[in-house]
Amino acid sequence: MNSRIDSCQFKTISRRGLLKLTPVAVLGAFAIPQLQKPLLKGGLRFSDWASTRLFRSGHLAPTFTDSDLTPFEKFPINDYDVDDPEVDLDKWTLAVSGSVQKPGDYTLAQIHALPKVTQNTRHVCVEGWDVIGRFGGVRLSDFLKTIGADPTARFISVECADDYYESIDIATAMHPQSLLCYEMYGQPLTREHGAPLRLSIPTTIGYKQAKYLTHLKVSHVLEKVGYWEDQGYPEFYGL
Amino acid sequence: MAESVQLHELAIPEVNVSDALRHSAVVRVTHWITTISFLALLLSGIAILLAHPRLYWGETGAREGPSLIDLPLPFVLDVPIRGPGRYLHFLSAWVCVLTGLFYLLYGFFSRHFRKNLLPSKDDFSWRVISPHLRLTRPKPEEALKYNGVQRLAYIAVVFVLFPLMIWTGLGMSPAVTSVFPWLATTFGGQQSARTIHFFVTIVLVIFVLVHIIMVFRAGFIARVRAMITGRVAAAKEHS
Repeated sequence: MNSRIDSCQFKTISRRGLLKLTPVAVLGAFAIPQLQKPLLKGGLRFSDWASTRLFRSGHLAPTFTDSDLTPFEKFPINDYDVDDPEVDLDKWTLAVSGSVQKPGDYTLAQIHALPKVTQNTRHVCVEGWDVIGRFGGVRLSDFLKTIGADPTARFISVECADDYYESIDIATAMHPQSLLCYEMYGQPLTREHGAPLRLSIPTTIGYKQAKYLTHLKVSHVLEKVGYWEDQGYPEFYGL
Repeated sequence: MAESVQLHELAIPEVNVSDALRHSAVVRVTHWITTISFLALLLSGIAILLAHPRLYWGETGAREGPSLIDLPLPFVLDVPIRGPGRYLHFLSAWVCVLTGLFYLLYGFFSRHFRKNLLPSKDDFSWRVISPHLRLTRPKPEEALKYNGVQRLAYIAVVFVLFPLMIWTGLGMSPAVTSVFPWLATTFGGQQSARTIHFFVTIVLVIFVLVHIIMVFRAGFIARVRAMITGRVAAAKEHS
């Protein structure tokens, strides 16, 4: 009994020293400006890593019946800047570049020619709200095949008429529910919802669903991630 | 009179905490890591909540539709609040989850849960198992009551409230619910998970407040020192 107490006490003393040092060391590390951001970002990076491991193209985001739909007029319109960047719909094309066999400008008719997919899925905003909408368009994976995207590429990045920009990892882009969306609720996209073409990716968060697309680039390296991500939001947004 | 009886009951669990912690550096270290990460989660959670301080029930909910509760808080969309809030929330969530997992494994394998948290049918026999615990009890006859309350409170926090927080937290992720839809559907949907996440937070905050009151009742400096170093209890044992 005595020896047990002694050994306990010995451990207590040695750990006491550690305990006193550890919080100081951790808080001290956070106090160094150069270390602040990498340390804070560590949690998000680990989340992104964990969710990339978890993500499978066979796992579908929940889909809903028509009676679950949020009425179109109650589907929120979120912008970082303007509701309508005044896209000239007649002259609109999607500029494709990067690691693709067929770069160039693609018209809406060329995109319409691909098999159409319609799905009732959630649109989850990082702010905390979510709605269920009816989205129609073509699979991003079909479009990537059409443009001859390099299968070893890692990212798809898009730019928008309102200077918004976004990127997604290739696994998310190849997911069967990831759409280049030109229709909502059976009608062509309205200007506030991103006419003529937006992303609709139900496996990720709302700020990834870029509107008013103008450019699409396939790449191995990202120069910039996305408008919100570059201000500190998660990049993959799995978790 | 009735109130004072209750407060006594609250104070006794604290006696056991510090005693249990004295025997295990793991419990003490995980206690403080959890304390720091809980505080960080709470503050960053408030920052995230302020982006949309309305709660809903079911799958969907947005500003345009009816809410369950409109919290009397302002909508704060400033990026300097939201970005760092998210960094901190995900970082501290991982710290909390990994610490919690370590604590759980330790608790099961070291029989910490069985010995110190599982309410025993016979308090007397428990005192026989750990006779040193009696040394720090101000009034041994009160300790019997405190014991049960303390054990139940900690069991609720460790096995119900924290798992619920992690569950509902994951249930809000579009990517995770595409892999495990039941994470959200069990509660009735994305917004239900968010609302439960909020209310479990409230319960945890109440727990922490009561916990701190109990520490004060039992002697703040002595209890906190015991939780950091274990020295108080050990000194008494040798005196």
